[in-house]
Amino acid sequence: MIFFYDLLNASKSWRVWSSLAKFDIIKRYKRSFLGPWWITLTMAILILGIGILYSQLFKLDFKNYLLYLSINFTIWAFMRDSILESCQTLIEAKALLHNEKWNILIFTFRVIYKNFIIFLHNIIIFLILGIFLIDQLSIISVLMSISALFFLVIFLLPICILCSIINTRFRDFYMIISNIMQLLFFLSPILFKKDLLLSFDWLLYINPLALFLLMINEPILTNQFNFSYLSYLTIYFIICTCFTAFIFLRYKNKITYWL
Amino acid sequence: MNKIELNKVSVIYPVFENSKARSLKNTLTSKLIGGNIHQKNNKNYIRALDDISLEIKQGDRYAISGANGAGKSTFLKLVAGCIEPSHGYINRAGKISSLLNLSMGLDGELTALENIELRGGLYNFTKKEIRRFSDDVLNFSELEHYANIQISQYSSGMSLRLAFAMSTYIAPEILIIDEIIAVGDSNFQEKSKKRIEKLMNKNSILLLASHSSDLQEYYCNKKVNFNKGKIELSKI
Repeated sequence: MIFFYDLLNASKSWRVWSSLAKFDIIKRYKRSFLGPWWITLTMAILILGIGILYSQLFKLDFKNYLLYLSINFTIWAFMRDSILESCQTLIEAKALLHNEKWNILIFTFRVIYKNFIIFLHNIIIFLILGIFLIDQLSIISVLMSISALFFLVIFLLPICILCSIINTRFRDFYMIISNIMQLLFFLSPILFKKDLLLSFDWLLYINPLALFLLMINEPILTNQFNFSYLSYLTIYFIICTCFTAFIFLRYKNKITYWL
Repeated sequence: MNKIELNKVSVIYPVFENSKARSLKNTLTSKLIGGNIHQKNNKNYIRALDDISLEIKQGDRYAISGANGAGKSTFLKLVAGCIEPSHGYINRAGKISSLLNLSMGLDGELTALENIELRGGLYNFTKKEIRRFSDDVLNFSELEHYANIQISQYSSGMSLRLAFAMSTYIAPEILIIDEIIAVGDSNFQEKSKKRIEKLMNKNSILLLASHSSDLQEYYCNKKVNFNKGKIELSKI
């Protein structure tokens, strides 16, 4: 219960984490001509480059493939950067944590919120492409995708909290996670369509990040919503939250000693 | 009522002097192979505070003294809530603020105004409160004309003035100070001394770590001396 109480308190301190996240972004793009729009431009170039090559390799329709890539890359970047940056978030906040009492969950909110702002910059590419390339779209599909995205944000919370605690104690955890993320990138249906997996489709169900990609992009691109994804993800979410709550309660008071 | 109660409190720091103790792989393999021996025996600890019991009540103004490494800073961090005791129990009642590190969160890449807005955010201020905070800080630090300049371009005196003005804005119920810091040129030093005195008069509990016996006598009514993690109470 203490975990959920702390979680609630951290979410109430939205002014704290939102201003930390805001200045993280301001600092990164300070004195550059395009400012945070560099994020969008970088992503657009990546999508275009990969789109041209892979649509040829997989023999797919270029326009549809571009649409598919743009939504997948945007979601993937959000998930990957939130998880990887959360590993370092407490270590980077050392000066603050050593000065007064903090609810450490605030720093996880900071990372997720910062990456969500970046996500909003990136999703513009998909929205622009969508206006020209999507023929029919029902409101229900859009709502389904948005709710799935909302679930993803909630799902990232326990994962990122867990990563931040473990990496503060074991500094090689970051390297392990970045390798896992790289592997998951190739195992998830980001560049390829899930139908290509054939008998390997079980790979999707053991990888929650892949399930999230499908749960968000399928309603909007193919007007389908597969409830089995939701049931798998709910189970993963419950397991992950319980485990994180356990680790948090056990080691909460030791974290500042590890910094 | 504001008070701080420490009951048989010890603080033991683990020392990660080699990267082995930080390695997840090493910890897991040593557990699997039945190791753990070198971990337990090789792990070093520092006992920074040793079995301390103390009750700090409303109206108490403690001078904290002791040699370097005697446990003063750890004690202040413990009371401020940055760390929790390894053993024992601490009860903190009251709004605590510490001037342990003036430059907390100060970012050289940002301008003074941005830094003020960021600190205001950390204090959970609303937009209106941030505006009031900003006016007060710029006015007090006399940096109005430099508000839009990156503070990495400030002189060290100027950035200390900014940090001081931001850190001393809120008057807490329990104030923790690690050395009284008079910053800036002689004019500003007088001003900052007055501000900190005003702050100290407003709160109900003061903990002041200082080596100067003049300051201790002037501001405090009780004294606690640290020696190798233990405390001795003495009169001012």
